[in-house]
Amino acid sequence: MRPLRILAAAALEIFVALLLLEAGLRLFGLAAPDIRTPGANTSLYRPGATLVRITEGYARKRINSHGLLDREYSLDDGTVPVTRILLFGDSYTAANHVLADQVFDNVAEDLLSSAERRVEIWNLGRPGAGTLDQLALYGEISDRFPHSVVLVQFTNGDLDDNWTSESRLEGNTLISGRSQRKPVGSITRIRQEITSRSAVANTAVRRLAMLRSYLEKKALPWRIRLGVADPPAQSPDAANRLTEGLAHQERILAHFRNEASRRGARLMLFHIPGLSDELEGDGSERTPEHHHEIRAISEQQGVTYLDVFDPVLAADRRARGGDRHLNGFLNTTLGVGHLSVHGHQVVGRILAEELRKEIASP
Amino acid sequence: MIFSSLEFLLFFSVVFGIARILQNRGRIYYVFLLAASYWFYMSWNPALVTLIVFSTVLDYTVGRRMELETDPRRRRWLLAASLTGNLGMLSIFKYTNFAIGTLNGLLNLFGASEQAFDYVEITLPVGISFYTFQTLSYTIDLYRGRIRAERDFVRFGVFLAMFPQLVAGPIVRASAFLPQLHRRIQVPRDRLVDGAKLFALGFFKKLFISDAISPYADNVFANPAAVTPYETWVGVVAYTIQIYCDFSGYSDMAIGVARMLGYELGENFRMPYLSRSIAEFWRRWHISLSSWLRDYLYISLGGNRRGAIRTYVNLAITMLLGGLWHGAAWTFVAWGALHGAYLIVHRLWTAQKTRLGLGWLDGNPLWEAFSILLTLSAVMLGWVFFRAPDFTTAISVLAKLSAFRIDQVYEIPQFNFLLVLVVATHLVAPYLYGRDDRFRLPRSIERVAYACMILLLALLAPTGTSPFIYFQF
Repeated sequence: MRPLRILAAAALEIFVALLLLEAGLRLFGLAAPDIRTPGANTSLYRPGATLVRITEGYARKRINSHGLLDREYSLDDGTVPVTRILLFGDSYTAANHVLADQVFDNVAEDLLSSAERRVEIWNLGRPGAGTLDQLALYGEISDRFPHSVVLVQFTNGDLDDNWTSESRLEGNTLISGRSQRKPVGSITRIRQEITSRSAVANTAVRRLAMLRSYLEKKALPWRIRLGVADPPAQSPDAANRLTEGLAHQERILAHFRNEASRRGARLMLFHIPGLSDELEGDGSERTPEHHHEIRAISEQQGVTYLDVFDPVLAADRRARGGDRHLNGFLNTTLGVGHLSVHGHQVVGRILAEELRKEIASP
Repeated sequence: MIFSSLEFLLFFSVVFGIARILQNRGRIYYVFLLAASYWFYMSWNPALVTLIVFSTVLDYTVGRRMELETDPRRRRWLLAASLTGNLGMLSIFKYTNFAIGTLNGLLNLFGASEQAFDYVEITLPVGISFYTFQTLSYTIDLYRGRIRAERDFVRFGVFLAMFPQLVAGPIVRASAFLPQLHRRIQVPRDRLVDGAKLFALGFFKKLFISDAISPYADNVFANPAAVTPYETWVGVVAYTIQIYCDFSGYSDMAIGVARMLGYELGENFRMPYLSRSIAEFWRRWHISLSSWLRDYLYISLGGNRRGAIRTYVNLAITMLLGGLWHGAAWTFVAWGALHGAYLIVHRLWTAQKTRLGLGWLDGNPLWEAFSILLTLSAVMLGWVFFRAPDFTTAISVLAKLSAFRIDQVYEIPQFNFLLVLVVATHLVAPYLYGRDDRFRLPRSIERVAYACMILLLALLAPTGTSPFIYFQF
């Protein structure tokens, strides 16, 4: 009897601790339940859910009624003409760590809108997403949201980290607008249900994923030594990777352009320079970014290229010589990492200037 | 190998297991403890363990000779040998480049255009300031006739190199620690649990608070021009919290680990930010160092026995050297000088208060609250010099602090949470301690609190650990 009582008391104490923690995390805005929709393999988030980011800057954001991590928009508001732009990109665009109104698309939106005409830039950025993922997402949601412009934010990562195999491009059902739904197992579904309701569970799942990836990384050399795992394939040399990467991007852009024009929309692209690389020596050396090549393939494919890269880079260089960095946060390192609030303002202003040239006439 | 690393947890698990088997089995236990301590130290730099061995051999020999010696002159020579050997080693390894830099600076003032002397490549041995002061307490106490010499070389080695306090204190006195090495070791379950709890608390302070709040300070002191005055205030407050949680966290872990092995190291922090005066602050902050400086430096200089002016001079010298002990840089000297000045002003105020008929202020809750805030502000001002890499940065930070405007304030919830956590525990904790200074809470509430602490650590603690601030001293 006694061991059972001890066990019951311990369980109760842990339960109370979990409850306190759940309340504390929500009260102090340090964590929130999962924003993804349980069981559905859709790329839109759970409307009304809250996202909290504390590891880089701080943001507490609400998913809007359309399932976007963005301001609230109404599709039926016919008071003034609307130019609706669907914006795709990676974590620079998703900007999970910056309040919605401060993200560059909304900065640009405010600058472009007037009493006579409203410009809406709907943010569909996803951390870690490459152009192929963005194309798939476009296929998934484009028919739900009438739009006249599709805007793609490009980074060097699209030529490198986000580079995915050709097979995903060919025959991808998402591209033609049909949803690709994978069957979800019951355990996964239960886990998703719990994480979508509990801040503690959501944080724990993310922590466990981090721990697993850390352990996998640590274990890999041992697994290779024991013959249980293969050594990672040698990456192709830089020149080859660039050639292959550019050809790959060109094909994706062609698909994207076709999908957009099928829906009566124009495709535009802009390239944000990576600001995380420390400048070397005299400040002139940085990782090559190939924005000229991206511009060339965009123009070859009839995609409008917005010249954001050079002005942002120039602003970044000025900031590094001065006092307000475009990236980094007080709780990370200033000058390293994603765009700061100030960085978003700068990019938003530059993007607005470029967009104004393209969408000036109704 | 730092306490908050997985490596240390593995190391301690093995040491603890073997220690439980070997304890009270005579000398073999102390040989094992010494070997484990040297192993722990060698995880940083194997070669530098020779410095500890040197100090051990020197002071063991000096101690044995001093006890047999009756001639005061010869006893003084023996003390001088210990002081020269230990402080000489400390000077060479810690202050050589500081001296070269200062000399070059002086020569530049007199017209030299280039560096007259090149800097020397020297690795600063971790914890050298701590074990040097620890071993000096032995020879000085022996010289003063307060303790007897340790006859067992291995036990003396353990006193100097015992791994929990070896690299960052608390600075253990021979009079308090050596007798423990001759007692039968008994670790009842409640002491074991107490030690584990203290270790967990220190771990939480270090990993969850200090490491999480450190970027706010690092960014401000790395480039004060890049942040707003409000963010500068956040940075200075963050550093105030960081250094307390980092160092007291380390002390808690050290005391906890030693307690689990059956030894008591003594208290090192007692809610220092609740001090009502700067003198009280130094009785609550890094107690083992401040009491060391009082007993072996301030009193040796004459303390307060030679008139008011000499007392102020002694206070100033003690704090200047205390500053220099922390680091070989003029910013540390400035920090020490500032605290010396604070102590002199406090002494003057205390003397004048009654004469001015303001004795009624003592015990007045409003006055006490004001005193706590004033002391904390003075301490925070001092931390600017302590943290800044140079005077230019310190001045920039101070200039930014003075330009604060309320409209620059914005919400930083993570920082606010840590601030609230530290302030709340400071306010609540005094009511949770019993008369014997032990934590008193209903057991179930205590267990829930520890469960919350562990869950917070698991969920929100920053990934990766950074070294403890006091390792560099």
